[in-house]
Amino acid sequence: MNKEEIINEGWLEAYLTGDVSKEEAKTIESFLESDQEVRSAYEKIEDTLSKMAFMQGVEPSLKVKQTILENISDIETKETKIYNLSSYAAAASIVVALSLAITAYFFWNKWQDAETRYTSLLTESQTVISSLNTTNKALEDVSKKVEIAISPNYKRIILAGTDNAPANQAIVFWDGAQNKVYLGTGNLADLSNDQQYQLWALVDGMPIDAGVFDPSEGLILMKDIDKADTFAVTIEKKGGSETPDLSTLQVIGNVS
Amino acid sequence: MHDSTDIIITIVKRLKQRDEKALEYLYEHYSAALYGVILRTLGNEQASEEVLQDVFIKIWEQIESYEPKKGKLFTWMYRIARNNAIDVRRSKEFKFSGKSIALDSFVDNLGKPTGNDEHGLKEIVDQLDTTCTKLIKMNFFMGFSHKDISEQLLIPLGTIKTRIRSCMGKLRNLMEKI
Repeated sequence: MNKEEIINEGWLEAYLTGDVSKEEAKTIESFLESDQEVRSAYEKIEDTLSKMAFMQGVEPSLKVKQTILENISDIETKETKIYNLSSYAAAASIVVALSLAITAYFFWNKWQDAETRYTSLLTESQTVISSLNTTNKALEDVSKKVEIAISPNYKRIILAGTDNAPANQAIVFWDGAQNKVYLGTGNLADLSNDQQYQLWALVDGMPIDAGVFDPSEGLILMKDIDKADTFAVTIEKKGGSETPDLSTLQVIGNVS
Repeated sequence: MHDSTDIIITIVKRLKQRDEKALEYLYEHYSAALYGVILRTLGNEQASEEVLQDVFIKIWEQIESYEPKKGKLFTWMYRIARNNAIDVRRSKEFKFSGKSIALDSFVDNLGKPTGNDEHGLKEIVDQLDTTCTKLIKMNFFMGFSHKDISEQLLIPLGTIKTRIRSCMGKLRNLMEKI
């Protein structure tokens, strides 16, 4: 079929009424889409048809229109219902998801809270424990001091300052029977890292090592001393010396 | 009433947007034209009204399948109406009990006055030769195929296409004179 045949041999009229085969229709359609002449010829036929159709028109009864509109409404309501149902379901699931998320967050928050409080509680208790230890220690010291102070077995030897440290004082509590020596460091100052105080017991001028020490709050238990005329403190190298450096003599006191 | 292309474009758009008013508009303007075709095809008012209902519901449901590049909206609606009526006529359930529709005259005695007589249908039909009147009416307004017509009017099948083209041309000329 060529263009002239299509237009002149009645193919377009036949296409309109459906009096063509599927293949013929396809061919005609492709001409309709691509060729303006074919399209114009077809439009003329369409015009003639619609004019004739209006001329021969017959009015149907009124109920037909009603029925049509009712049916359309039904169709639309059904489709809307389905649409609404699915969108309602979607909305509902969003609400569920949201409330789950909110609940989860709520509990997570509470858990975080609890964690924080637990941690601070731990810290608190540790602080309490360490302050308790400190208190215990202090208590120990005091009770020791009291014990020694009131015990008739302990001799009190006050070590007085020398030219090296005129204002310094220390005290030795010496239990002659059991040879225990307790030292109270008094107001002796801190030393540098490479130095340390050393306590000596002097017997007939001979110095006996009673141990090294650092200034502290409580009484320090030193080495046992069975005999002493005098107690003295020097500054030695850290860890102590075998013989005292008497030029560094800090405090000294005779045993009465 | 023939709507301009712009109106049709708007109607189609609104139909696709599910605007029921657009369908109402089509019904108001085009139902009579389509009903005439259906009624002449079936010859039975009750069956024809049912078909008309189905046709408009189909128009509503299938509007997305209307392609402007393949033709005008009325042609598309006309085809739905014509094919639907033919299907009903061919169905086993339907008994063709047509009132005597005079094939000789286009102005039928269908019991209902049509407001469109004023538009000069009678005049046109009077001036169109009998054969052309029969051919056009049977093919376009009664749902007969070329084969049916060939058998009924005893005209060779191969000549029907060109005959119809010629008759449509005559009809167009007569209309332009009105």
